[in-house]
Amino acid sequence: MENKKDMIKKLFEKQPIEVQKIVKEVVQLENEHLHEPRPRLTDDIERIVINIVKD
Amino acid sequence: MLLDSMTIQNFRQFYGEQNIFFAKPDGAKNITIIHGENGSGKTALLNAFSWCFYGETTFQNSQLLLNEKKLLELEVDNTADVSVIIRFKDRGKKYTVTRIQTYQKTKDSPLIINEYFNLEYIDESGKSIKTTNPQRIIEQIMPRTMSSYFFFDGERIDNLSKNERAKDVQLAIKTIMGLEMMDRAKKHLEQVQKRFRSKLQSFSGPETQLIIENLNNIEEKIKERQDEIVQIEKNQSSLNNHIFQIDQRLKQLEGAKELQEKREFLESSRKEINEKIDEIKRQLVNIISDHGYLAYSDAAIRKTKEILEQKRQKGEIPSGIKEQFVQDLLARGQCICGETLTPGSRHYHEVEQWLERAGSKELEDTFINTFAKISTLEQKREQLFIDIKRLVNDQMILSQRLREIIQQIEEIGDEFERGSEEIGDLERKRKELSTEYDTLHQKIGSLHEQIRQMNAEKQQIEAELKKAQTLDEKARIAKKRMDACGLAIEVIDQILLLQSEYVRGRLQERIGEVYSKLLRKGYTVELDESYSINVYKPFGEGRRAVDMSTGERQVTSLSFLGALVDIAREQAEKSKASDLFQGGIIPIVMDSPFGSLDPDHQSRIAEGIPSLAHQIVVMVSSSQYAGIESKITPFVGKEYKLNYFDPRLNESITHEFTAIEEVK
Repeated sequence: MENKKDMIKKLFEKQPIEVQKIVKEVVQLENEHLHEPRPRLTDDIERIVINIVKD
Repeated sequence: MLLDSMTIQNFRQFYGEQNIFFAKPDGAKNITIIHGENGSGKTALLNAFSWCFYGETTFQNSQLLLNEKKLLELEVDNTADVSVIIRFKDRGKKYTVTRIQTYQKTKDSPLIINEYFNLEYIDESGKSIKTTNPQRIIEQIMPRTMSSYFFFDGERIDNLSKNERAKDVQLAIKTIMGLEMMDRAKKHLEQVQKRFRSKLQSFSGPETQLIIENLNNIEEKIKERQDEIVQIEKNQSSLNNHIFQIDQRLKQLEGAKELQEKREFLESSRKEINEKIDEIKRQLVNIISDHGYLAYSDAAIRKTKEILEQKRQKGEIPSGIKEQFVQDLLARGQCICGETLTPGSRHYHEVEQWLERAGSKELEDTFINTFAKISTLEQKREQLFIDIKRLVNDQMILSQRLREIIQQIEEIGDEFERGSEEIGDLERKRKELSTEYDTLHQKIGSLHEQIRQMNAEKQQIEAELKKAQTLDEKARIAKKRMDACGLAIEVIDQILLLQSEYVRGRLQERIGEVYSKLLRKGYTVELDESYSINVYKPFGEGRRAVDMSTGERQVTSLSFLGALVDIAREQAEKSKASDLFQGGIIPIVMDSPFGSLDPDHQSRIAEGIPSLAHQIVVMVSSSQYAGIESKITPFVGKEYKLNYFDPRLNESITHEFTAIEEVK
């Protein structure tokens, strides 16, 4: 079973840094704003992607 | 969710304001026990949870929530409140949920003149927040469909082990393990990806615009079909419930009971055989996709062998004389016959010519390897046919058995139709519903196939879009962000899949452990891919699905809940703030969990309950409590007694009511 945990870790670590950042920040945002209305969250996530993925 | 306290006021049997402070899961004393005589309000307490959280109750008779003593005391036109307040903690936040109904006494039945529902919470920073949509928040923490498994009537918990509950079980797992959070993250990212795609469309040339338009169209079509499936599944579930009710009724009718029980057994065998046939089909697909090419390799293998054999017979491979040997003779300047080999001489030239005919080491090695590989291929090919033959044979035997079972099921149906008027009518209705169910099932299959094809098409279009050249700078950056969203979505998908597999595996392990402690018989329990809980007993050299009694189903359900809650707790304790999955703490609140159990199982459950969850609230009748008190007392952190005040025993009491008393 622990093998699956390692697989998740490895899968995550082999992604480009900016993708890792997007996943982490978006999941964190979902956690923090569990009770927020959804449309605003979509705007926040768009901003996260814009801030992480530059030219 | 960790329960702090509950305040109830004038709710059903409970007169005035009453409080319960739940045992905190410190050390071993994690149980709050509430005991009372039958009719003193245990079920009302359970209903207080569902009413406060979801506005629902399961009272069979009167729907009036206002305490009768309070109602009698009221003057006409005066009002009184019924309220339940629950305080709990969840993922670092402290919540207070309040539900109030205000009644006004009239000359007829009392009227509800006001209803109030509120949720406030204090976040990690100590800030108090009042929400505008309390129901949504409750649903996020404890979805309604799931709540009946954590706030449950012990005598009715048995349905969790029935297969039709698999969807609820999946949802429970997702919510408890925090997978829901990832799901939501994925959905939001998809919306954001579409925004970037739309920006790309507006900054791109006509070719890219067309690709995006096609992509939007196909996504819309997929969504239409997905929505249709959701609707059909709802209809299926309602048909299923209806069939279940007919089956229950048939079991109550004289002359139908035994046959119905036989039909249920046959239905369970049919399901089991169908699963085995599906497994064989899966194995066949795997074998054919991995080794199927060997079936057509016979001619190629034979031809290669022929060529190699000819070469060998001609002495070309392997050669009798090695290249290295000839080179050594030339270097030494002397042949094996003793003749001197001088460069340029006739003898030297003759020996040198052998170099062309001698075999090189590489060629010889290749020859030996090829020959070995050809032999392995031949063996694999032979094995392929043996495996396929075995699987097809097994499938034929199972299909034959399936046909026999279906025939027996149909015969039972025909016999029911020939039975009494009520039995005949019930069976005809059942057949009608089953046919409708099967039609819907086929429709879903067809929609899934359409979605599968459309998804393949969608992938192609997405690949085209990925390759599309963007000259405009704004289009280029929009595309880069869109692609990053796409990759993040893929990663979340893969993580979700792995995490689900991990949770299912851990659940399987834990259910087995908990189950063996709670159930006396040597049954084994398994969670299949769709999260259905299956219980087996040893049968000859194999095993057989168990037709469980109510008590056994109850134990199975408890094992599952215990395992699920335990894994969520394990995750919560181990996880760091930065982890993608947080897990969580879930209490179990159960009313009369010992009702359908024999004394031995009662005792086992009593011993096993403390380890089922972090926090447990148990409501039992006084007589049941007497039977388990010695087993459970070491784990009791809070004890309450429901004192029932009976006017027949005390003239000063005007009307019956219950008060909650803490036992210190």
